[in-house]
Amino acid sequence: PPPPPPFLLQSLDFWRLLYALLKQIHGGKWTESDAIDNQIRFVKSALWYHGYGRPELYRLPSDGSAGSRELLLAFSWLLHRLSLLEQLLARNRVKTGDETSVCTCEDDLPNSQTGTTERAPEYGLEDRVDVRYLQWLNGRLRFQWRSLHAQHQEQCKLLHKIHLFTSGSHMDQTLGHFSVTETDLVRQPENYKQVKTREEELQKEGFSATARKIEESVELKLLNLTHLCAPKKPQLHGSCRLVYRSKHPASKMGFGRSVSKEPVSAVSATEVIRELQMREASLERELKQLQEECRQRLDEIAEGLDGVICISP
Amino acid sequence: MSIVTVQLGQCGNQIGHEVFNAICSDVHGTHGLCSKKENESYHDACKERFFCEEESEVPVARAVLVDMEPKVIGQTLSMAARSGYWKYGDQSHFCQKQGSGNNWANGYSVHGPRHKEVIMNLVQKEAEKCDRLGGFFTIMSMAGGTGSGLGAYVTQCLRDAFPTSFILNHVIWPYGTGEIIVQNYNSVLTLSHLYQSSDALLVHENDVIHKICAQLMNIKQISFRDVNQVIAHQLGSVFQPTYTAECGLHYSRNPLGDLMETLVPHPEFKMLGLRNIPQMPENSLAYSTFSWPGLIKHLRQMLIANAKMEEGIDWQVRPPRLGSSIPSSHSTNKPLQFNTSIANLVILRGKDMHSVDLGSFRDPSLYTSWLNPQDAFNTWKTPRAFNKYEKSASLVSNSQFLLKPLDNVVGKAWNMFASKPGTGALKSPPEHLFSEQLWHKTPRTANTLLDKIQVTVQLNLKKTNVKLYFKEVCVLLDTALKTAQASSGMRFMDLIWYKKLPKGIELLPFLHCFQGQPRHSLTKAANSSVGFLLKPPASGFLSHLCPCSRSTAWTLRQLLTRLDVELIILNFNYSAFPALSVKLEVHNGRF
Repeated sequence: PPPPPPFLLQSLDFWRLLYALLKQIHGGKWTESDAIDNQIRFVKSALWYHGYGRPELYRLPSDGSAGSRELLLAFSWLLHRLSLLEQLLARNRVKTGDETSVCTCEDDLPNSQTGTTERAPEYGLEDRVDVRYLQWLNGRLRFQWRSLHAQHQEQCKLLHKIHLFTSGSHMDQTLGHFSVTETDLVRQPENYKQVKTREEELQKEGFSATARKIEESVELKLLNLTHLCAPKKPQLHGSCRLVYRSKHPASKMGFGRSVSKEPVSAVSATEVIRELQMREASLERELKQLQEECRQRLDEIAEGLDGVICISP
Repeated sequence: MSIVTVQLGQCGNQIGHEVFNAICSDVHGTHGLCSKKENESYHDACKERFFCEEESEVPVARAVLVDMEPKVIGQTLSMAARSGYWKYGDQSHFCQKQGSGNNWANGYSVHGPRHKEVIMNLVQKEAEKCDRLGGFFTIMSMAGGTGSGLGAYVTQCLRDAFPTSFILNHVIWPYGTGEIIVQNYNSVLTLSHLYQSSDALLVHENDVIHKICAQLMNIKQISFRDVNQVIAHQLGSVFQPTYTAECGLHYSRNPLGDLMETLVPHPEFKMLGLRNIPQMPENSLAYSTFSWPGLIKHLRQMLIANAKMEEGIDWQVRPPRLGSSIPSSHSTNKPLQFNTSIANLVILRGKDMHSVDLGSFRDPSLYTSWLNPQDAFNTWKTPRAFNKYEKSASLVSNSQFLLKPLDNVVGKAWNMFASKPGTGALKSPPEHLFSEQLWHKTPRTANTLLDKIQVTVQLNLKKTNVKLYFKEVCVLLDTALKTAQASSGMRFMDLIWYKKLPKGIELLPFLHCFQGQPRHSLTKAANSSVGFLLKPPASGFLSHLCPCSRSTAWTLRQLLTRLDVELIILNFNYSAFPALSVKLEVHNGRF
């Protein structure tokens, strides 16, 4: 019999590991006491949320008794796709730059799980929800979204002010201006003493070296895999540092030029905006189509009702 | 977080001025009754919200002033500057010379498009000055021409230009015996248009404020200034900084958003009323003491009895006991006195506000059946006293309070409309109902742009499959109305609109149930009512009639959005004929 593969975790433990890691990524606190099926359900929904589409994983039993191979696959996917290690590390690190996240990935979630015709579940009288209450909740959601939008706009405005006012001050010419943290560091250096101490501690443990080693080997393995797969259109995804570039012709860095020193290629805001606008347009078309279908269905229903006048929009 | 105020028309500008005055004097007053730190936070929050610090030492109000005549704006600007505490921006106003002549269409169809660019430029400039735009607060009256017509147009423009912003319209409901002849038309048209673009309509009724001035403030000769100052005090009591429930650490930076979210998330119920307690002349304040339990008790009864002030409250009105059947009022014609709410917001300002018990406002019987008090009731608080009142409480309420006034206005508008020359046929329903007419030209009135078209619906009781698709009719009428611009010399109100029904248009009357009883047959229709099942334009859901207090139940929104059209179509005189008649009654029975 072939020797057991090295580093094979028991499925149960693997589920628990994923649970702990994903909970942290999602900003939650994980507790040992959570029942295993809850933990598994959480892991599955988190994976689904992040776009993991392999159905075999979702079919794994909820007592955690099987599936270590599938879990291993999912884990490595997470490491690469989510930059899991970086995210975990980032949770405790001081972010020197102003960060923003970008995602222009297409929705490529498999929808074979649900049939195309959905039937409303049969509700008993007790389970009915008043549609007016749903409208109420929907309205609240929309208002909350608007408030969030206003907050984002405010953040943009203030970031712009800081970037503008500190232009030309940064030692690193490719950046050119300070971020919020850097500005704060300059104004109140005493707040950042612990950053120094933390840095020294980590260097002692050699932690960063280990992390880098793990990441490099995973990267390598995945590179091998990608050669075997069909090439995919590169999607912009992940966290980036926000840098303000004016269109001034004298500046060395033109708009959108990638900088050789940085490991991540630079992308301009206009590019991202364009991509997102295209996505928006296609979603709008889809929405209009669905609304039209809805309207037609309602008209059909209204036809059948006795004594009804139906005014459509 | 900053609010941009748009003052529209004479009324809007006068009130706006008093609002900034009230806010400013509150902030500079020494009667905060709280710690210095608290006072400073309050001051800073208020400043950010309403004023802009520019190079001049005096703070500049974040406001845009619009009027079609120069007099009131001129007065407003100079009065503000003279105060020494604040002023309006030098370039923040726009006015013309000729006024609107109390003509709604003049404001909406003529001045609006003509001056849209200039006005929106002013608004844009003001919006850009804000680090965070918290929304727009427009002030207008419904009765005149500029505030109402131009105001409706500007609100639409605001919505188009700032689709994600919060828009709150402060609307002045005219005196019942007001002087403007066409004020009811203006009101109806304004409401129906505002409902589309605005998030919430905060209504102040002139009659109510007048009573407050007379009975509570003891003013003998009540001027518009007095009325406006009471209104400004009430508005200030809502919009000055407070702590919302979620965050007690700093003053809310999103008052408009918070207000909308707690009170008007349902798209069909947007009308808000305001009550404030206590209200008294300033010189009585020193001799008065207040207790929170007393204030809260009065405020609650003011809500459920639909009283406008703390005097003359009907204490007999009680909430219906949950579970018991709603008394049938269609037979006895007794109006239901109890004012049901959808949602309420209580704002407490002053000493010891943390100890206040608001349990009585969380009584589920106060609220409509589909919303529980947890969702429906909210409070905001601050220990900082407002405008020299040691303790004060305000109630912003989304409830049935406006049904009667709305009924009045619509009824009057209809009566006036139906009595116009050329509509004589409408007065005698039987012939009218059972005759059929074709296009009918009457060149008598001074309207040469469009023909008068007469609508007659042929109804026959026996034939139950007579159907009318309002859709076509409404759309056609709407288009016709829009093309009739009030160009020079032509008064909008002179145009009488009917529409010939194309072939195949049918009316389907629908009798709804009272309290779960089966539908009446058409022959028993004498005193029952007719209602309509409607599909609300935006949400796309079918709205069900809810038999409540009255017969016909349009949702307020359908009614308001269709009013200018429906007024014309639905004049069926209900009770007199066993043949089909429908009286358009305005009651939001959907609570």
